[in-house]
Amino acid sequence: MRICLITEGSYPYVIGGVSSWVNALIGNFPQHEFILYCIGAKEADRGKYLYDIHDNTTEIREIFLDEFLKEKGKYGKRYKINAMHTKIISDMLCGENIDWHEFFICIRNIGFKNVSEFFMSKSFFDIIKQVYDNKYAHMPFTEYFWTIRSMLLPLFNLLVQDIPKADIYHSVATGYAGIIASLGSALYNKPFLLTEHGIYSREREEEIIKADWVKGYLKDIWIDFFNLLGNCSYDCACKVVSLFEKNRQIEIDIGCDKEKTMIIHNGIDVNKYKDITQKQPDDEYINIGAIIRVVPIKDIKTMIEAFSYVKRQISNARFYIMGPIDEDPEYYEECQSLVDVLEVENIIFTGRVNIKDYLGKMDILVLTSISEGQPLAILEGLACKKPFVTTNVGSCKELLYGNDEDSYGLAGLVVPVMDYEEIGKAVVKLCINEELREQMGQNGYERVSNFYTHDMFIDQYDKLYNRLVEEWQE
Amino acid sequence: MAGIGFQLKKLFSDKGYLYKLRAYFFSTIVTTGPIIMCTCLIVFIQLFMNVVKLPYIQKQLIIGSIVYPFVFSQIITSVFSMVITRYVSDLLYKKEYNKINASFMGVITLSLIIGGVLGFAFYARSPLHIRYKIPPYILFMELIILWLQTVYLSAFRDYMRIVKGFLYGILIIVITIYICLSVLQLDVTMSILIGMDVGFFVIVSMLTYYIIKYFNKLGKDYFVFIKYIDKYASLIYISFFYTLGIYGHNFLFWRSNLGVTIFETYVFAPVYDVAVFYAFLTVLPATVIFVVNVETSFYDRYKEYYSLITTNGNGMKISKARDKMIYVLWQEIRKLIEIQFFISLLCMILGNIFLPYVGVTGLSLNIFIILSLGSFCCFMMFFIMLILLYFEDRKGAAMVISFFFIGNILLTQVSIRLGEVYYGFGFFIASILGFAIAVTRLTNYLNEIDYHTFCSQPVIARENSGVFHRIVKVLYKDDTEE
Repeated sequence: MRICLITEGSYPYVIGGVSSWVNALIGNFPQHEFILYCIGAKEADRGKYLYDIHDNTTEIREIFLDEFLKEKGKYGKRYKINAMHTKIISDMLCGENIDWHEFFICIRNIGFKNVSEFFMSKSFFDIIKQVYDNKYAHMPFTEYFWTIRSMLLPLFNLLVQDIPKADIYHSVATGYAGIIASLGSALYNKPFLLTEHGIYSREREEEIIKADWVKGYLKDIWIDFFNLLGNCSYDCACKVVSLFEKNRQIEIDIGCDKEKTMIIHNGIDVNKYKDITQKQPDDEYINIGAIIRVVPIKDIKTMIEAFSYVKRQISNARFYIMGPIDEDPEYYEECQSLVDVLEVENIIFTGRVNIKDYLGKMDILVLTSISEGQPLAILEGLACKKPFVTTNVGSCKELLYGNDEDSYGLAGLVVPVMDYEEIGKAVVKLCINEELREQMGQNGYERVSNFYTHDMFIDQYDKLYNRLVEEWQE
Repeated sequence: MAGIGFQLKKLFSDKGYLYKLRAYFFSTIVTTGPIIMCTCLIVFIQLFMNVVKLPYIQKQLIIGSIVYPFVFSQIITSVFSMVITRYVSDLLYKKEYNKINASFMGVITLSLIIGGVLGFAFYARSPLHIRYKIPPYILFMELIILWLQTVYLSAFRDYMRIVKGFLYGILIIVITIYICLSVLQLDVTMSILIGMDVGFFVIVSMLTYYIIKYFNKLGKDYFVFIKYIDKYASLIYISFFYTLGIYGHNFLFWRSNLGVTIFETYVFAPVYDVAVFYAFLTVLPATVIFVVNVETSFYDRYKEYYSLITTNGNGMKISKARDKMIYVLWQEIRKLIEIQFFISLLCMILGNIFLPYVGVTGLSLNIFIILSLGSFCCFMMFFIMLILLYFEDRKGAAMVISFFFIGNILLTQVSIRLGEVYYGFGFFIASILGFAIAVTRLTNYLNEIDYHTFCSQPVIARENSGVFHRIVKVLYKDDTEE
């Protein structure tokens, strides 16, 4: 089976949860052939893979959003655009009754190779002007016009790319990756499988609300646009897999057909963690650790403040931040200076390390992310029988507290996002109660071994792939 | 720096005939002063040569020594004039005044090198005595500088300075000629040539002093302006081929049976050239009207439209401003055509009556009539082309000029073949053609002006690159620009 796996801003350029997931998926299906379609942000990343590519990956297509910016176009070109094209494109701009299949075919039928040139054509200007007059007439036209162009440039550029042939188009996000998968599915009449780790349109929405490069009244246009991209995937995919229940509910809320949704948890091979080095008996410290990339979304600063709180009460606490520090050097600097300002001792940034060398020595693990899907870090920690303190994001609560089906009890404590005092309190609680730590560690281990195993994860995808291909042929 | 538009508007805001008259008088001086003065100068020299009864061949030598520098200096400077106008007005806009003086020095140096080499080549093959070669060569170089200076002065709209410069210069010419003749006892030919050199030297010096002083600072980036050649190559094309088109038909007639050769150096077609000279004078009023109208009523509408676009007006406001601008523009163009057409007709009639008194007769007079109509069309074409450039339609302007230039060359050739009756028709038809194409282009362009305004910009702005950008980079290690 040829599977076209589409990633956006993750594998193989970025280390992280989604990338590890992709890496594990491909590695565990030697019987299938994978074609990677990777959408990256910067062309400078081309060919810079941070993972060893598996042998069953037969082709890697790379496309970078910034390479579209280099395209030069002449203005004044004419295109054959009929009333139907106009209607389909302007419906898309308005976000109304879009038949994506029709839209893809329409764009490819216009037959332009150079998107800039098309955007600089009279035909396209007329469409934008018409949509503006009907829907956005109160807005400054110049800004609307430039916004629309910069918004659609990457999208249209993706729409004119060659899509590799495959039996299944499997995208790991909605967004641009979802567009490619939808397009492949439409062009070659093959199933589109979507696995959504986070909720793409929600993540973009948060970004845009915070962004200062978008003016207030344009924010809605951008948010609508990313919702549109998201909905394209929900419309075109025949199965939408989420990692946990909460996300499944959100997907349904924002427009995904309930029938399409299903859950496949992340999985982990518990046995791999059986023999890791344990804490030495003469180690008088209480070791608190975080398996984490030092980036803002993980909210390392709150973590440091929380530890400062802990340190005031537990003098023999020690804190390990285990993960790459080079992704956002500026943020790392800020974290360092926060450590200096708070004058907390015993905070150790390990940088990129082999987690297995450290995990066993930990007494407590923490995770303070602002946003998460289903963090692999928690699965790893639980597999090592470590209790957790996490913020209430993604599936953290489900992982630590369990859901209706399991009765393994608490595997840690869930606290509100960015509340360093609550985080600190929870950590202190675990610090002073060794019995509780052990109980929670055991609970977590049971849960992971029974619900989140690697084999289950692989097995479910295997069945899903086969079922999709079969159903599609019928 | 009050621009001419501002000054003119003040003038025209007063009602009443007397004020209007004063206003037009002032505008005329300001816009066509130098041309009128140069014309007077040439007429004066002609009369003077008649009074002192200079032999025919000497007269022609003097005419050649003056006309050739005038014509060819204009052609040479036309290469840079539009690009440099653009560059200077951008610098003014960005308030980077220190670069203006530097570019002034740079463009003069470059033009003098080009002109110097070509002028040298021209006189090298001439059998004239060296003392008849040096003065026109100097005059040629002075005029190259002068035309470039007028570009600078009109870029910051100080037309009065130009007029004054010319006025003093011409006075000096007359005085110098008198001194050469009566005190130094030189011959008439030398006196006139030296007088011209000295007079224009004074003009050029005065204006140089003025420009340098005005911006005070002199940066080091003399040749940075050539970067504009990459982006605005079409402006070079437009202004060069327009100027060449203006004189092209003369050059062809010089080689026809009307041609006369003086000392194997200067070639003319006096019968044709004289007609051209007077025909061009008939359209001077149009220049005045154009400058006044464009600078006053149209420019305000134009600015309104573009400022709504840059300051985020909504679609409705932009549409209204656009319609108003287009309405005013066509109204002004129609007015211009009507008034100038009437003036041209009047001039043709008056020319028929009075030109014979200054020695224009027969064939020349017939050519004058048809060339007057031709000049009318040619100038209208030119004005519309300037409007196209206002709207950044360089492609359209280049198209118009191409048709005009090629048409002029081909049709003039044809008219020479067809014989005397058709002399002048080449220029006339080429001009009418150019005019018609210009109007069509402007109409089409204005119909889609919103589209052109928005979509001529690249989807993503990017650094300009080209040969001249790279040269500038090497010269100045400049990586901060644009």
